[in-house]
Amino acid sequence: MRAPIRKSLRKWMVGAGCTLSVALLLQHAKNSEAYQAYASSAVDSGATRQQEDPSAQDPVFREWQDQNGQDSGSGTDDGSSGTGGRFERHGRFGGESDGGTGDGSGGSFGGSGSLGGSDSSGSSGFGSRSGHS
Amino acid sequence: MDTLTLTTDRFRAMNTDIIVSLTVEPHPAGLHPAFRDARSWFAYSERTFSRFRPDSELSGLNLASGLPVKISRTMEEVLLLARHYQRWTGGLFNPGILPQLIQAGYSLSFERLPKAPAGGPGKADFESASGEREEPGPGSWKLFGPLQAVRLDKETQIDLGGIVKGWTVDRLTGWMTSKGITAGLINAGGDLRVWGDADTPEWEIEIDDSRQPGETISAVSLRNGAVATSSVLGRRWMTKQGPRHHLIDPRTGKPAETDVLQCTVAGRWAAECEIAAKTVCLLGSQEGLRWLAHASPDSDALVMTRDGGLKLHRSASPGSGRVWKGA
Repeated sequence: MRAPIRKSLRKWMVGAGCTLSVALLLQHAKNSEAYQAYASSAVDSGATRQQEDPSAQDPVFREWQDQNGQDSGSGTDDGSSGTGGRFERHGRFGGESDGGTGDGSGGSFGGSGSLGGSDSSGSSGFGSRSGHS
Repeated sequence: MDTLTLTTDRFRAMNTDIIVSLTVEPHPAGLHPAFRDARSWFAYSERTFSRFRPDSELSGLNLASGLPVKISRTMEEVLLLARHYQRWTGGLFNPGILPQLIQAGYSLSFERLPKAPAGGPGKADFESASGEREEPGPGSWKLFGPLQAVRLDKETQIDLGGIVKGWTVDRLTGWMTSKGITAGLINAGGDLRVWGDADTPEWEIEIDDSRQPGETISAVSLRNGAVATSSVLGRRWMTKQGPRHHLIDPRTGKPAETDVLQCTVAGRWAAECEIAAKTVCLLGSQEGLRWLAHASPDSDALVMTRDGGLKLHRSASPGSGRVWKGA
């Protein structure tokens, strides 16, 4: 066999040996107990997250949540323009309810909150005003 | 019967009043997380779709008309939906009429425009002082799905205000139900969704009279579904040529002039009801209700005409569960 061919063959053998060594090393790492434990915990947590929150898979909600995370320094309560929010307990419904009404003063939306089939207000359900655009 | 608490949060977003009522207990430490989500979601939608915010994604898109632009999944979803509704309405819903809206004087956020006087509009309200007819110029765009990019036609400017409130409400409703909230209402300036299960009472939605703030013309009861109202009296402003309103007819490029003053549509989705209500306003009561019966057989509509008359169109499909009162 001529010298250049022998030299080339040796290079190929060294290359193949290195590839085989790396493959064996990766196989060894993949079979290790530490790797198996990490992989199974990652799968578990992913499955749990999906079970808890099916919306997490929605790309639109993911974008929203990502931006939310970036904006977390400013909080999420003040995202709207204008006068800010008002928060109120609106009422209860049920057999012994007093039909607790809401404040009814929300501008053009009113928002009376009489609830319940047998309440004293005589209303048959949740109430709201439509508004229009 | 179990006691159920309904808690309500009100705030401003998208230049309108937002009401979110959910069957959750008030949170001892302030806003319940579900209400925080609602506020955050509306703020996100406004940041993405407002044409009045120079930093919004929509403003960036309009600035780059003629060039391909990478867009968010959120923008892509709404553009796809807008394209669907554009076909559904035969082009009467057209987000590419922003130049006509601006020409009609709707160049600032509605809250900053000089308001038109109260009362019903006359024919003169719809005629420009010069008597010239503005050329309609509905724009278009091309979506490159795999690249998640869009290119607006040159000179095209889009306004997604006619769909975004309803879409935001629909998406938030899905979010809330996925979080296990059994009943609720989300109302964005008249585009609303309600939901509930067999154990919760029905919602009764009173329909405002756009001629007389504080008065109602009817009410509809439903457990699940959407209601949206559109009115030529809803967003009016004053220009040198007289009062204008926001319902632009793409066929003429001018504010619509039909016999409809106000239309309420009750159906499945807030975005669909919002667009259907506007379409009926643009087509007029007769043609509009004929179109609705064909395009959305599951929907009901209540139309108020210029003479103050009310027309109720009931869905031919059984099982909607909606009951109208006073119409």
